[in-house]
Amino acid sequence: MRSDQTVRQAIEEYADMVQRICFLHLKNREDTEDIFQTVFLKYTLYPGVFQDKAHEKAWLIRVTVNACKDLLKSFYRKQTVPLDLLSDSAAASNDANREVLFAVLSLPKKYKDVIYLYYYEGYTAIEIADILNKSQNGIYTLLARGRTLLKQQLGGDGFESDPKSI
Amino acid sequence: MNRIQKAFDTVKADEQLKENTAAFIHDAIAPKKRRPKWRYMAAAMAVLLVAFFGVGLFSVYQKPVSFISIDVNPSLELQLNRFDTVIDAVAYNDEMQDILQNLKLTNKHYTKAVELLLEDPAFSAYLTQDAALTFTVVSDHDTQLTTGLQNCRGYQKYNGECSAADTELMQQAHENGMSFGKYKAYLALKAYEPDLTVDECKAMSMRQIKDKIAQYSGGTQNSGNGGGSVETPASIGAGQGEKKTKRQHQNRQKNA
Repeated sequence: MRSDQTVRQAIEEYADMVQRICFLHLKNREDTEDIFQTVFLKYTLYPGVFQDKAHEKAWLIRVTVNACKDLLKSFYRKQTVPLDLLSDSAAASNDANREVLFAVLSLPKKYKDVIYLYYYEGYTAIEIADILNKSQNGIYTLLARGRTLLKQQLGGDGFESDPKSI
Repeated sequence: MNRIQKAFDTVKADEQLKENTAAFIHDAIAPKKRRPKWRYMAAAMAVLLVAFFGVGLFSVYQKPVSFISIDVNPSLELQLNRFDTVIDAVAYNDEMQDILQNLKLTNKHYTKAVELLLEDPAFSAYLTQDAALTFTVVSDHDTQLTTGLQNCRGYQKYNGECSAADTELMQQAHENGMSFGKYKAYLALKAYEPDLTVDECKAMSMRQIKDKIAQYSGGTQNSGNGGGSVETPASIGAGQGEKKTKRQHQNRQKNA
C-alpha cells in the first residue's frame, strides 16, 4: 500500500489528466469525484511496482478509462444529462478552444479516448493499443475515422498542426 | 502545439477536487481506532454474570424443596420449588396417569394447581360421596402449605384432610413405589394388620384404608363424606414419619 505522501504527489501530478479523461466521458462533477476516488484508491492499494513514470501514467490512464466505462454502464448514469463540466471548462476558455472541445466531445464514444491520447498525450498508435488493450489496426482505424469526423466539424487540418505521423 | 492540446489544456482539476480525493484516500487507509480492551472484558464479564445468575436462578427454580401427596384412589405427588410453584407432577397409578395426560399442573402456584386438579372432570369423578380426599405435605414450611391447601375451594367442598410427613417416610414410600400420603396410611393400617403388603394396599382406595383403620381403632369413621384423618395407634405415630400439623396438634390438645 502506498503512503499518504506518495498518493498526494500522484494526485498533484495526474489530477489534470484524470480530469480530462473524465471530461471526455462524464457529464457532471459528482461522477468525476467518484472516478477520482476510485482511481486513486486503486493506485494506493495497487501492490505492483511501476517500472518508471511512463508505466505509472499509462496504468492510471487505463484505470481511469475503465472506471469511466464502468460508471457509465449504470442505467441511472446513462440517463443523466447535465453538461456542467463542459460548461465550467468551456467558460474559462476562448471560443476557439470551446469549439474544439465541443467537437471532440461530440465524437462517438469509441473515438474520444484514441483522439485524446494521440493528439493531447502524444502517444503513438502502438502505445495506445497497449494502454487500451486493443489491436493496433483497430487503433489506426479509429484514429483515421475520428480525424475525418473532426475535420468535418472543425474544417481543415488546423487541429493537428503538430501531430506525430500515424 | 495543436488545437486539441490548446483546448484540452484549459481542462484542469480544481484544488477542491484534489483535496477531497486526498481526504477520501486518507480516511480510507487510516487504521481504524480500536476500542480499548477493557470494554470487551467488561462486556464479557457482563455476559458471564448474566449467564451465571441465569443458570443459578434456573437451578433454584428447578430444585424441589416441598412435596404434596394427593390421594383418593388416584395418587399424585406435586413437587414444589422454593417459590411454592409446581415444577413436577408425578402420578402413582394408572388412573392418575390418565388424568395428567390432559391436565397441566406445572409452573403454577400449588394452590392454583390443586384447584385445577379438583375442578378437573376426570379427577372429580373419583371424588364421590364416600371418597377420602387426603393431602400429605413434606416441607420445612408445612404449616404454611397446609393452610394454603385448606383454603382451597375444592378442599372445603370435598372435605379434604391434610397432615404432614417427613422426608424419611417419603423416601420409604418411593422405594415401595407409592405416594407418601398413601404410604403413610399403609403404615397406619399395617400396625393393625401386620401381614398387609404394599401391593394389597396399592389396590385399595384411601376410603377403604381409613375405614379399616377406623374399625380397628373403634372410631366412627366409615363410608361417608367428612371422613376423619388417618389416626394411628400411638406406637405407629412415633418413629414412623408421623408429623402432625399444628391444627391437628391443637385439636388434640382441645380434646385432651
